[in-house]
Amino acid sequence: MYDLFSQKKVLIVDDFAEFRLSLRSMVDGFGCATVDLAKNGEEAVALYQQNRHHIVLCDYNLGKQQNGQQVLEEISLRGWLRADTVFVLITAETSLSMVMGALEFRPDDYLSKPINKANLRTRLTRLLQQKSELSDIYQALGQHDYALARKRCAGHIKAKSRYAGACYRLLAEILLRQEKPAEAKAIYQQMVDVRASRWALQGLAESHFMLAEIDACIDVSKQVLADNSRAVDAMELLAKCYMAQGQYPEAYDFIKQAIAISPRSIKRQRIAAQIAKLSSDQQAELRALRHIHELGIHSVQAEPDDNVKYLNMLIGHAEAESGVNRRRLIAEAQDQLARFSRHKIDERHHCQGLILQAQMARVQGSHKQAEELLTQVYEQAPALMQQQDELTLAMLQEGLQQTGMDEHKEHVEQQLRQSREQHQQREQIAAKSTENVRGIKQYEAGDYVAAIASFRDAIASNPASTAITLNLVQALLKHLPPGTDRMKVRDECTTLLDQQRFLQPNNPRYKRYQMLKSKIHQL
Amino acid sequence: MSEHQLDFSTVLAACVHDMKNSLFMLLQSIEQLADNNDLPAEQQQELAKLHYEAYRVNTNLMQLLSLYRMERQRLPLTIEEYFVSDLFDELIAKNALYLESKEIVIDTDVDPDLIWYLDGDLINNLLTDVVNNALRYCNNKLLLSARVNDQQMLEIMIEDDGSGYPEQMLAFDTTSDLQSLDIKNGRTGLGLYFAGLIARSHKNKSVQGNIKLSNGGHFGGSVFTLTLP
Repeated sequence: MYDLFSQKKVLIVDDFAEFRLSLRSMVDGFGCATVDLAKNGEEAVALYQQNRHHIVLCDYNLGKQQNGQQVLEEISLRGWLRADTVFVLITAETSLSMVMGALEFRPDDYLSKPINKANLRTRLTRLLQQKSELSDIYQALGQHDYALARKRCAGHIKAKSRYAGACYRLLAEILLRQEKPAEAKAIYQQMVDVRASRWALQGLAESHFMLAEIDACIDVSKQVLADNSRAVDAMELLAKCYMAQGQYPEAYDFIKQAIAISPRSIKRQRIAAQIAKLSSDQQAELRALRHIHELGIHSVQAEPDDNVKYLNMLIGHAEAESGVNRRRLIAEAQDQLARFSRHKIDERHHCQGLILQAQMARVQGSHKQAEELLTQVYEQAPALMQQQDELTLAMLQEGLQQTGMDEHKEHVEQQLRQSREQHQQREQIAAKSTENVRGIKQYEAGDYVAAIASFRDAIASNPASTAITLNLVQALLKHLPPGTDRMKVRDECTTLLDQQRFLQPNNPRYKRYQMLKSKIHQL
Repeated sequence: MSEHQLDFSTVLAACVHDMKNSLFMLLQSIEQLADNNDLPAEQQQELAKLHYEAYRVNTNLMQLLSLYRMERQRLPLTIEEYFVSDLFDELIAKNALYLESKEIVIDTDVDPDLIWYLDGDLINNLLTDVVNNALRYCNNKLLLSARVNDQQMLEIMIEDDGSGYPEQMLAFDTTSDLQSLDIKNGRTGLGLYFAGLIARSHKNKSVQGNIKLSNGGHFGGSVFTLTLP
């Protein structure tokens, strides 16, 4: 028989040297090509980027920094994870598999300690066999050719493959990823009718949510929770459902439960912050923002504005408090602000730092210093408007108002109104430009190469246009013939979208911008 | 909330985590020692015994943790598809060392493509415990078999060629509550109680799983039957 192990590169990740060596001695016995060892998440990610291992055995507990799940998330989000890599998460406690996500960033298997050699070999053999049996699907997924991957899933199902069940699951997941929830729902419903397995129920709930069938989503999510009271995915969905229905206390209750079970997810902390903001619970919002800031230090999911939002909230909160609490919050804010200002990133970051320092000065009673600092930023306001940097401008306006610099504030407001109007006009002109209109027609006709060329022309004469930038990125993402250098496309799209990074949620194009950004992550 | 109030579940989970790490190292050392072919047969046997007992400690730990969880809330259940033959392969792989030293052979009789819906961790724990006991009481043969019965339920049987279950165990009511357990019977009662709970927690449209003990079967020894909807 063809030896499954002989050509394989293995990565072992554990923070305990003894476990690493122990696992290594087992794997050595299987005759793999190479074995790399990493003692923390950072090393693991760096080694994986270099060697793209076929097998990753990663412990869940990796000390203070990233955990094993986050290692998987990071290599997935950075676009490095090979579709044919077998990623096994090793846990000390069996029940962990219940805690983890069912759909997103799912490891291929969970193994619980103690592990013995024979058992490890049995498991890996099984996983490698499945990957090799379905390798045509994983290959298509590796090339992000979802249509082909779906066709191949269907092929295996039709041929009554031993892995037909796994193919149904993959097929439905691809459909969700392609934002075709109605088709995914049909498959999940069919599976649930046979037997309500965890993944089928969870998938059904996700599909309902994407279809905005909120009540149905709540129903199914509660069914998942009835089977397993620790199903964090279901809790998260319920939180999002209740948020959509404006029932913030219920929403917050569910996200709180999910966070208590699995506290290190930035995504969930963001939802918590969002709900707290909507329900004007400042304390809860500050708590969530603090977690996001701390988790962000070791996460690929950090956003550039996480820190400034947290600091802004922190100072505001310190001002409202009194006594010991106030002193504690001020000390925290001073410490964080010193760290924030130490980084010299760009002019924008500098402005944000000045506003925060001004607010700190004002809270501590140095009115004059606050005015001086804000005046510095005030002079930079036109540049901020040029970049449509709504977040920093909103901070500036808030600072000016609280410091009583009414004239300055009015002036900024006036300028801002004008600047927004100009931008809108420019956007309209850009959108109607011949090149852009031509590009859209070519895109709709499926001629992506021509569309890309047209959008490039359009952007040359309207370099700041959000509409054209998004069109170009969308066309670039659509045109990926076999052999495309995906990393190059990824880089270009990232640079393009980066120019629009100040887009705020109230912008009508924000949703599309976010969607394209997540698509780039999948490249 | 007072910081002095200890959450017992957290403490227990942390302890179990720590103990399992130690067990892992212990098992590893035993396996490495056993790899040495120059050891006299007697010592090999002792090592196999050590290995077997260490695995039993592990199974007990998992049961303890699950029972505690169950008392606190409900047993969390994650139903997914599994190849039954994969479950069997793993049971055999886990015990490879012991099987070799005691010259015990485990046969299996299952359609390699048979898929069933179950909680893999819980059922694995249950079967591990039953196989552990069967290994202790058998002469040199075990049979693991699985089929879909007339009621369209999965029937897993573990048979051995020992002298069968004693009378009092055959009479054991697996649906009784924990209080009525005769602790003097040792942990067998606990294991069976746990097995019964896991089986019954598997439900499909009001049909529950169950376990059954009997004597006879292919070898005339004990027969453990797990039925899952």
